Amino acid sequence: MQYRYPESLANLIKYLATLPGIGPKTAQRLAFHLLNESEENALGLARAIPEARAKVRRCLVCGNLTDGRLCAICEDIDRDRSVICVVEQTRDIFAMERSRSYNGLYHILHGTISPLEGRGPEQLNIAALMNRLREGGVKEVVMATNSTVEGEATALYLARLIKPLEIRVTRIAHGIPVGGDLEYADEATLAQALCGRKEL
Amino acid sequence: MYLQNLRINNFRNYEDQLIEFDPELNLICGDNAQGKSNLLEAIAYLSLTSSFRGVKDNELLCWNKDYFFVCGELIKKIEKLDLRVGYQRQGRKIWQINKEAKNRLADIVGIFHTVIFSPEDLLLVKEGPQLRRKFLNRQMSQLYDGFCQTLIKYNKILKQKNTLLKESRARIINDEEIEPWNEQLSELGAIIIKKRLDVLTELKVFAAEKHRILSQEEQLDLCYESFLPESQMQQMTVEEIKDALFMVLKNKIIIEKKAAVSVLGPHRDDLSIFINQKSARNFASQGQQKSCAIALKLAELALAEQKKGEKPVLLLDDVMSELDSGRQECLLSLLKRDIQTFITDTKQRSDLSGHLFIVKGGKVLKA
Ligand SMILES: Nc1ncnc2c1ncn2[C@@H]1O[C@H](COP(=O)(O)OP(=O)(O)OP(=O)(O)O)[C@@H](O)[C@H]1O
Ligand SMILES: [Mg+2]
Ligand SMILES: [Zn+2]
Repeated sequence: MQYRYPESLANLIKYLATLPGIGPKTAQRLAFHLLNESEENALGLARAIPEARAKVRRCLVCGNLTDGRLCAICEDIDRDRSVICVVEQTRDIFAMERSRSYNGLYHILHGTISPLEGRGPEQLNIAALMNRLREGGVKEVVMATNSTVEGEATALYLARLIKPLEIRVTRIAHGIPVGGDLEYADEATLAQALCGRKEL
Repeated sequence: MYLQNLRINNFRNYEDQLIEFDPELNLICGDNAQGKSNLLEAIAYLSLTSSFRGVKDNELLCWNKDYFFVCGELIKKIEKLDLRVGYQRQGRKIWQINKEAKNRLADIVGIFHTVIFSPEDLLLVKEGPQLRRKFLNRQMSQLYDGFCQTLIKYNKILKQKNTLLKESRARIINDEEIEPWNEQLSELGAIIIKKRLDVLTELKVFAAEKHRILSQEEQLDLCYESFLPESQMQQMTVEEIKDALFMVLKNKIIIEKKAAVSVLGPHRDDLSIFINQKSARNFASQGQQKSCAIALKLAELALAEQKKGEKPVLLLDDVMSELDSGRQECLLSLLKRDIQTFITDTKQRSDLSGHLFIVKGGKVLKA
């Protein structure tokens, strides 16, 4: 008969293997690691999951992740409130922040327009952005969606939508590799891209 | 350039075969259904990363096998390249040039330049525009760095737009949703059209010259059919073509929504062929169509040689059987000794001196 892991261990491996980038082999390694790990660490990890899931929400203004009502960036009084940088994903904010050359606010769309994946403008966090802009005070919107055809289409769509509000719309000049994700752009290219942004 | 050798493993009806080629003429002979075309297909696969017969990779797998690979050594003017490609059922394709992995089509296409003539090409004149666009796209991807990339990107945008247009059957689509795609299509479309016009200017001259020899004095003309007349577009800059294309697309939105598919752009353009001022598609005889198709291929060859300063490899599948003896002789006279050429034939010809390979049941024997 073929040897099998005890059911509880097999179960743990099964869930670990559902994580992105984790294959069956790595899942096994992680499971054994967790079994040998100190009580405190292993249970800490287990508790962190429901806690994060219960507490983390989207910022009511920009869509960024937060434990409260507003995110740390929206609450930061030292930020330039006349510029909003529009990005696809929450993680894109970290890429921009690492570049240390931007001090405005953000708006997260949570995706791009992509008919192939069944996503139109309606599915994106666009209505909230338009409300923010109509409230006044914003002088420039920087489109920092990726340079993929979907990211480009989203930037073009928004530029047309915002134009009647007479707010300046710019696109970060892509020093970022073509087809590349913002996430992978290193700080130097991103800083350059921000300086060289052009009108849309 | 020339292909020095080839190893084929589990590809079509070849299990494992290593062949050394002649730098000039290679004659591949054998009865029907023995593997002559499959051999040329394997060579072309190294060059184009897909089958020239338009089938999917898994159909190239030898029956009941789970992977195939093709490799060969290519001798170019200043370098020797080790080309390898492997395919695993339901898995990924692996490309290597000098043992270095390549992931993008654009990194591969154009390195091993081939010009192919196969029986399918006889339809080039008579069939719809798709084959003629493919003829232009295939050669231009090999000729110009970046062209392949531009086509791929254009097609990605087009696919998104067509999906959106299809949705218009189920819901109301605002023009604002279509315009971001049109804007990108115009930008890349203008680049594609401009480049095609440039190529055509030179291709026309070569094609007319080759056809004059093949047909004994008929006059061949080529014309690019797009949303504006060729003569007008030749005078325009890329920027002007882009703006014009965007305006025309804007005016077509209603029609496109109704049709639920994109109806205009370089993916719908055509290359018209005229023999003595008459449309070849409508009036050419069988023989004229054949000579015409061959002239286009020979023009492609001449253009590649001129543009790249390096001679491509010529693959001729079953051409002889399609031509009368007069035209066969003309064709042979046009072949140059210094271009590596592969010819398949069911008969062994006494009038051709090259290396003879006999193909039988998926095995190659050097005669
Ligand atoms: N995926 C495959 N696996 C195994 N055998 C295949 C596969 N695809 C095709 N074949 C076989 O390869 C043979 C056809 O080879 P090919 O097309 O090269 O013939 P050919 O020598 O060019 O003949 P012709 O003179 O008729 O053009 C057929 O016998 C076919 O059954
Ligand atoms: Mg054949
Ligand atoms: Zn916020």
